[in-house]
Amino acid sequence: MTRVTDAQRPTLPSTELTTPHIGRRRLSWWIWGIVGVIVVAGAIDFMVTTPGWQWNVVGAYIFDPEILSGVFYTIWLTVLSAVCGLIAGGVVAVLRMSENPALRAAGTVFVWLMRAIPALVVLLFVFFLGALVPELTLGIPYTDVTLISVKTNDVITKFTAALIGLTLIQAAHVGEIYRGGILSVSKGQHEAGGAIGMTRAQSMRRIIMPQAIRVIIPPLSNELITLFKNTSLVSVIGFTELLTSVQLVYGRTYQTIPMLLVACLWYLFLTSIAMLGQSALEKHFSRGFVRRSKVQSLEEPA
Amino acid sequence: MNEPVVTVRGLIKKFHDVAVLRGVDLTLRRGEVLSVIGPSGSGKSTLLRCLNQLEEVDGGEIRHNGELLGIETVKGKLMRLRERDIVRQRRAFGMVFQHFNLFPHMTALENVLEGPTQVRHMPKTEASELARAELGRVGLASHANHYPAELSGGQQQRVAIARALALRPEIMLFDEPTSALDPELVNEVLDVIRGLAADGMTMAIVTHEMNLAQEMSDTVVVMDQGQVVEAGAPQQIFLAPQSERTERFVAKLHAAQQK
Repeated sequence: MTRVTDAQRPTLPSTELTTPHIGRRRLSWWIWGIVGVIVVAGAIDFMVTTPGWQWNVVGAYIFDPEILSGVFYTIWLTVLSAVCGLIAGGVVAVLRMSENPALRAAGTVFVWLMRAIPALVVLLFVFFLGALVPELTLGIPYTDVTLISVKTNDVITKFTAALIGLTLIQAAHVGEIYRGGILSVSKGQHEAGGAIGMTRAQSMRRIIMPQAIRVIIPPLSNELITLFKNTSLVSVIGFTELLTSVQLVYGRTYQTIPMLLVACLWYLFLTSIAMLGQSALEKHFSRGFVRRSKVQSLEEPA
Repeated sequence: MNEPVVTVRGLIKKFHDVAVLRGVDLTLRRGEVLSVIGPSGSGKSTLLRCLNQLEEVDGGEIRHNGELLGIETVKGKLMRLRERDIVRQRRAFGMVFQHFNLFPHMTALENVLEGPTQVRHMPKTEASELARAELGRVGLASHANHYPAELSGGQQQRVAIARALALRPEIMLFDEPTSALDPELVNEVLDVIRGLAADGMTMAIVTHEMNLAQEMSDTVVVMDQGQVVEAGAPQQIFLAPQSERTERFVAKLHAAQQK
């Protein structure tokens, strides 16, 4: 075998050593660029010149008090059912990962039901619960002992039905996301926690959860954005959130397209804010998992 | 000879129906360095993990200073202890894992601080002093603010040793501490272990590292198929093995070392 010495290797002339290296531009690069420009131009043209959008109507209604009230109720419903769903999801995850087979089965059945039944149907079921169960009773089963008893229809309003329905759906999805995140942390981390004398609960809180959160945030954000859009489903039970308020307007004025555009613009705006929040959270919980440009080294004590 | 700190008698451990430990006897004395060697699957890591109760034992007994570990007698039956008691018993043992198992979301210092502050409830300043001293002992005082991902394998393992030492354990357990390391990083970890041996720390070390077993240990235990084949001074095991299985395994180790 002949060995190549450094002297035999071709070298760059010294004047070129400081020239930056650039990537190759292939023909396809230009073709896709031109296609992109044409598509964007067409889209803008469509949005601006098509009279059916009726941009003047959009402008007149986007900050209309009736619409703003719908926006408010959409946000309010999202926040409330997100909070309830995040808590209930925790319960579901604990059930699903319990060592007790009865609790584990309860969690599994709940998740199975909520995944199998369409969200719209769950909402309708909760809303019409009074037809199935006229009275809600809290007592000891199969005895006459009753602690509280109320008429179902006094409890289930349009708002509470929406909140309960969305929370139930959320709980199942969020519970599975939590579980996935916790399972993604290696067994060695539990053991290391145990080896330094922590209880299972301590390891969970100090070691496992902080690492699981990093994995949980992207799917959880996705789920919350889905929830935000799913609030539009409650128009089916007539709760006046954003979509319902838009529908009420175009029911009177027949300006369907511009009013739907109003709703879309609000959904776009609010989702964008949520996505900003997501990337901030992701950054916060990436501790120890991203390269830092500078690590503060300490002086070695003499 | 010093008094026994840990005694193991007739230890049985099964995974489902497979017996991994089939009646193991072992004595670890104060200040002793005990190496456990043997082919993969011989049960040596499982034995170590049973000592600090990362694995539940199926039969036999482990005693630490006379106290039965993991079980108690209730109405004539042997019942497993509650978590609270297991956690208390575990505190006598420090554990170092093959894959370090540092907490990736904490800096080196925070890793070492975790036990003293969360488990021992030591005041912040006192714990911090202790943690820095332990990091200094493994030669990493200057790396206190590094995250595990920013450290080499050898450095991570040294932080893991400091983390275990910060709890002032009576016995240190090492589960193949150098097996996951690049060859050039093995020595820095061995040096730390050597230092602990010189300080008189009681240690049980599962290893494939000939140097460690031969030079550092007072006793070498050879395991095969869930049983102790032979136990004795390193000279006996490596130069004049009593059993044929030991002889075969030592020959293999030598051959591997030559490569």
